[in-house]
Amino acid sequence: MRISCPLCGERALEEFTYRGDATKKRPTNDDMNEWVDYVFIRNNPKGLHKEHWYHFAGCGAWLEVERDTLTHEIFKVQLTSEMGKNET
Amino acid sequence: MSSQINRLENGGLINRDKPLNFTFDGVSYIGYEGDTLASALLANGVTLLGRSFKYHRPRGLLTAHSHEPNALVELRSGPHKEPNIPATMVELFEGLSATSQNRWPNLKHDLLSVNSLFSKFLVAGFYYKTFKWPAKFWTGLYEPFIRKAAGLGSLSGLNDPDTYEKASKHCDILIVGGGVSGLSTAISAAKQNVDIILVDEHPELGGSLRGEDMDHALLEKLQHEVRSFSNIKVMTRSTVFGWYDSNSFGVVERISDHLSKTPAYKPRQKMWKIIAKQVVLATGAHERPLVFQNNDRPGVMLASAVRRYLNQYGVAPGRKAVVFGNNDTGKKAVETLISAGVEVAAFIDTREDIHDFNPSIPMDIPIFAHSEITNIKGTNAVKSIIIRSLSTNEESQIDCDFVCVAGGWNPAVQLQAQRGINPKWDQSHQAYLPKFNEGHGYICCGSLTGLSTTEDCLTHGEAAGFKSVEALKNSPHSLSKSDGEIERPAPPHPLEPYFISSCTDGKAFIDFQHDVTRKDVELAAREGYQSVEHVKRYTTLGMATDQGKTANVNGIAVLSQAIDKPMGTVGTTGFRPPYTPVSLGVLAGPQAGNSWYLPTQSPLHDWMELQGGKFIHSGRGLRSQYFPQDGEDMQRSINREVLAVRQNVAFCDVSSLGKIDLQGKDAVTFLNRVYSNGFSKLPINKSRYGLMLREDGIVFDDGTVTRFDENHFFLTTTSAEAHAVISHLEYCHQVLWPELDVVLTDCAEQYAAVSLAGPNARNVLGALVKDEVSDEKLPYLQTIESSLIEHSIPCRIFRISFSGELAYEIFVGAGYAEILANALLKAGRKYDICQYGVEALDVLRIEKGHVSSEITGNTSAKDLGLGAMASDKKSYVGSVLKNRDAFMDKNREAVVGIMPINPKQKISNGAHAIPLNSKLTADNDLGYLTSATWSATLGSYIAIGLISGGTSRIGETVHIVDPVNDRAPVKAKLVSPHFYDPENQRVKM
Repeated sequence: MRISCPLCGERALEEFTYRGDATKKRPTNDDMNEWVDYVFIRNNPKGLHKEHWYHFAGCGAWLEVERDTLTHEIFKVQLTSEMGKNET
Repeated sequence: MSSQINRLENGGLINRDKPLNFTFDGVSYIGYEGDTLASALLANGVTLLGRSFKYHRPRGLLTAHSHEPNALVELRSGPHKEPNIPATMVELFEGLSATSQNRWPNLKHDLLSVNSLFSKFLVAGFYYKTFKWPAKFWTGLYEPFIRKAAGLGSLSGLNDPDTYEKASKHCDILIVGGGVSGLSTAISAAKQNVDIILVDEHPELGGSLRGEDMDHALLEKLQHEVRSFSNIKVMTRSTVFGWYDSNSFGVVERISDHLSKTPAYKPRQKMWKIIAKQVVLATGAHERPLVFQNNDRPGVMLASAVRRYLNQYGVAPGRKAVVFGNNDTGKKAVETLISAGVEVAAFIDTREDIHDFNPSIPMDIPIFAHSEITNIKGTNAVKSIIIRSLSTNEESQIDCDFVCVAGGWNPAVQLQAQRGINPKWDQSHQAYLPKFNEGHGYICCGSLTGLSTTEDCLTHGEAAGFKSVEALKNSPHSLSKSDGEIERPAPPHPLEPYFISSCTDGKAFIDFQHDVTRKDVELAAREGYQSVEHVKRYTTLGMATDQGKTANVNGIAVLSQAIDKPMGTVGTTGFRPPYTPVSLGVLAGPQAGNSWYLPTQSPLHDWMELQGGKFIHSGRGLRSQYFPQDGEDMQRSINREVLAVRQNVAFCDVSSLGKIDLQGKDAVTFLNRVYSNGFSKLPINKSRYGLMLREDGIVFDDGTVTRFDENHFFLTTTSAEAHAVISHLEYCHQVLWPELDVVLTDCAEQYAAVSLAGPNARNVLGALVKDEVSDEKLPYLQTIESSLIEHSIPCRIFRISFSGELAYEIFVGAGYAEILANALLKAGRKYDICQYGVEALDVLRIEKGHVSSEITGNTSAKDLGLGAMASDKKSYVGSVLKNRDAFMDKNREAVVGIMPINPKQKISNGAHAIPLNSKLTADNDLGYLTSATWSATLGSYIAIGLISGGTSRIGETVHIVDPVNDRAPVKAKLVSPHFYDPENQRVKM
């Protein structure tokens, strides 16, 4: 698999580490159930998925990658830091 | 020495002026340059090349290519020995030695061929049926017998002495297969100035033009043209074995396998990762055999293979041939045989109107239309065949010494199938043809798509080249989304949908390499297996090293007949990489043995090595372990180093700590969110211990945080988690709180750091640096910038202690590490300063009860006795889940100290604690020892453990049991983990 880092260009999988589901949003309150869901509960979708990847052997950017878990086709790669700024 | 009895007078692409000596099973033979081991053996009349997997039946060559199921040999000897190599792919070299496999005591007289007599016990699923009872017979009798009797070649058991390399390459268009279609594609695409890589598994380009459809003039023309383009990179002796995500291809280049010895400074094989924007698959097709009784006898060969042996190598497999087919390839074989001067005893075709299709067959050759072969006579070689008319059932026998079988063609669809694109059955071609999916960036051409003539493949290749360049232009920076289908002509004559003989007697093989017969598949169908995938696993059809290249389609045909479903509806099995077997050595590449990874080294590594330091692998790095003096052993050295810190002064390299520079106006907010303790009130130039949790409430890492300025902090992490912490903090910053104005800089490798510890540390430091370092100027947890007296090297001093003694951490730029170390030796000379390594460092922290190996990834702050560090007054990573019910359980395993009643009785890491009056069973387990050591300071073994109830058990006596080390239980007392200076006064001296 190859991922197009917005800062570095298309790079080999070996430069990245995988973290997981990017759709989970960190709770803003202290509700234990919400936290258990955020930390432990994961879907395992077949098809389109949003994931966090870290370009550890490149620029150190955290990326949100839209990927098909079946074909491994990658549709979109964004810097998470830029996404946050757009939302606020 | 045998003469080459089967070598033709003329012809072939071999160099008859260059004879080569080789041996097979110890017998010497001569072949020619340009031969394969297979063609040279065939030339010498050696047709018995191996014994089959299960029944030990005699086997000879079936093919002339990499999908050979029978003629697998062991090549070379000693540590260079390699098993299961198809003789068809071994280029002959001077001195080559090969041996046959799976026979005992020798190939001609194989005693295990009695397996054939027991064959009714070795049917499909025999593993599951026959050897079930009694259970103990399995390990004692059945399994060893099957292991010995079945199987292929053997390994040398020695380390692989060869070298391997790995490399990557990018191109615009990758063309897989250097036959007519691939060559034609390359030339057509190259004219439009794109970068092309053309890969072929054979030593030279040309494909069928070198053999089956020999055409010297065209071969020369195409080769010359390809060579004239500098933008075509040709890779021969290279196999595209796998197609992976994002158009990455795994390719093995066999650089030295065709030579008697790997040349100096060259690898044996090289693993390429090729990344292509477009791929043209011109992988060709494999001819398939037909299924009839004794179709595995040595001498029964594919018609295409016979044509290749005749044309490319000038070898006739025998004197008297029979050709049996269901399509026009049979006719081509007859023509090739006649022009080579070989007698054709019969031409048998399953089709009725054969004379219309094959007008060029000479009148004197007996033609049997609408007929089939039902049996082969002869065991180690073909003696005669039985022909049966499909119209009248009339039988006749004809003598011959080899049989050419033409059962139709299986396009080599393996690479697409690896991508999950399964082929589809095509009725008019009687073949599985590749399916074209949008978005995969590939084009198929040539005989892979069902074409059968050189002319068609030339035209098709030209169109494929044009189309692939067009696709490239449409999406020059990413994978093309173009459709891969190109128009192609229909087959000139229909194939007869004939796969299996009408005669069901005896053994008719489908999978030659795994000894799967027609009856096995039929039995599986009768027992209820309907899916191809199930039949495959039950019978092992297609599961050998050739992945059923000659077997799968015939297997599906038998199944389709047995369950009475049309071919196209039965389904196919998938294919996984590799296309052909790949050696483990080349997959590992140079990353083997000591080169598996390069451990990181401290900037002081070389200096410490000169000082006599011993090193230990710690995480991904090498750290100084201990510094023996005057022939001390490790324990004595550690004891001396520990006492030097407790009583005098010593220094230790701590450069491996993680170091992170944090700046920005939100730095304090950020720290308060990532550490469990607070940093708002940390004064400038002060350090504070910091604890990090994971979101699940478990402790992640600990370290120090120092404030250099209002918005400027310096963080240290443990050596082990340095990479994980920077990744985590970047996650927190970039994903969770991108709105915070902070910048993190990993500067772990920019600084060398030394810990100077012991009651005399201040005296040594005073002689080391220019500034005043009195307790007033530099109190506990204070930091100052200063410079070394030596060369005025700038440094930063942190008054921090891990050992529990008066201590300082001194940081300099990594390049000044040795200046600092030498200056320390000089400044400390009058105190007889020494160095200590990580072993002494560990003893010192265990004596103090500082946690390290207790941070197991299962322990909470409370478990570690650090509950007070995990604030309840703020929100931070882990702040909610640290309060999970389970973490509040009073009986959780938590940190406590352990001291044997008899201080000299050894206790070790991993030993368990059991209450004194309980039975020594796992049910009574209280927990285990995480850090055990001999304490020179206390004159006793001591340990920290994770024991149920933790410090609430202080005062109890337990048995420490250590069955792994085979030690008698040791009585020990549970005590405070702070064995030494529990009030922590010494750091403030």
